[in-house]
Amino acid sequence: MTYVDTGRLGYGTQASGGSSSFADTVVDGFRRMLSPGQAGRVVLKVDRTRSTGTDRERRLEEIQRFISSNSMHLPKGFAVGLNGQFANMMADDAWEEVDAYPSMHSLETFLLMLLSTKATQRPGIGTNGRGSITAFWRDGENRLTIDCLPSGNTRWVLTRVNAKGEVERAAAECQPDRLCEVLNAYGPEVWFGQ
Amino acid sequence: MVSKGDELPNPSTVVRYVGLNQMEHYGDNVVGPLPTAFEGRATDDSLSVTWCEYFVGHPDHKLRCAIETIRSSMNVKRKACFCVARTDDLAAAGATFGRAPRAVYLPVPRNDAHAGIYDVMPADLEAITEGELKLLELLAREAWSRFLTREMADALPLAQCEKSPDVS
Repeated sequence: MTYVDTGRLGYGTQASGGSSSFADTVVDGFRRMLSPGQAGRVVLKVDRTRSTGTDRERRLEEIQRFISSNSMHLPKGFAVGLNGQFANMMADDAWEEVDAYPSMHSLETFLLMLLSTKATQRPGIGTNGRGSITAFWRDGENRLTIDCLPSGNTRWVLTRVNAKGEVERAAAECQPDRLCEVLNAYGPEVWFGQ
Repeated sequence: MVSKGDELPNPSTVVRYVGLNQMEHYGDNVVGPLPTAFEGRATDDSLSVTWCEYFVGHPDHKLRCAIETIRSSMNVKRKACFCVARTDDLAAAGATFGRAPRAVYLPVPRNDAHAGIYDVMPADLEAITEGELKLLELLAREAWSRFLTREMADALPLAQCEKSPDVS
């Protein structure tokens, strides 16, 4: 079965302004996989023929299949770990029935965010209850929270203790491919592990 | 005497039910609430909480009564948490960002101790501003930093949960 979504369009080509890394190439390739279909619609090919059970179980299966099918773009062990985290997130003892399921668009945003930040440490995950996927990392008092939205944007907020011991807070909304640049001022390696 | 629609006495203690997916957790290690725990829902004009001082007794008894009231009024998940805040801390956090949070007594069916916090949620959940994101982070990190897991809540002393004579 093919999952067709009438939401946002695929991504444009990044402006070239510097040297291209392997990760940039992977992000670009990943985006081309998500290129617009006919009539400007994003077409994600998701096999649901084996899906049984509840709507929540089917969405979890879609999520896990999408992650697994893109595992080659992620650091070793990420896909297995993320699939386990999503299973825990959507388990009976954790999932709130009033929450909207994480959307497949949010999942694209989430994976693009991981690729563009070059994170080598898996984040914790949650949701805002409106279809997003929330990623978070902590290092001592330093916390970074990135909400990956169905719109394709990320909404992030951080608390960071600077070299003088002062607490700084910063927040913004941006496309996932801008995260690396905008977070650079806050020493994101404490979260991403580079 | 506090009646429906009145502001709660300041300071008061309030409890908010927060699902595991809006708590910062790594495996089974829960660290505290995420900013998303206090965004509220688009259909709400105030942040839904339960007021501890609706009940009489020791603070731990009141807290347990508030939690038991939440448990009896909704489907509480096993891994969900109960976040606790004082209204003066909420007001102080809001003031940092030009807000004036106020807690209002708003009993609802199955929760006579229900209250709402006004002027603390983002104005538009689809377009949360930078200042609102920072306020949500401050609320999560400071005002709402105290939380109880199911096991912690169960360890609180049980009480009769009598209504305070100061509530009409």
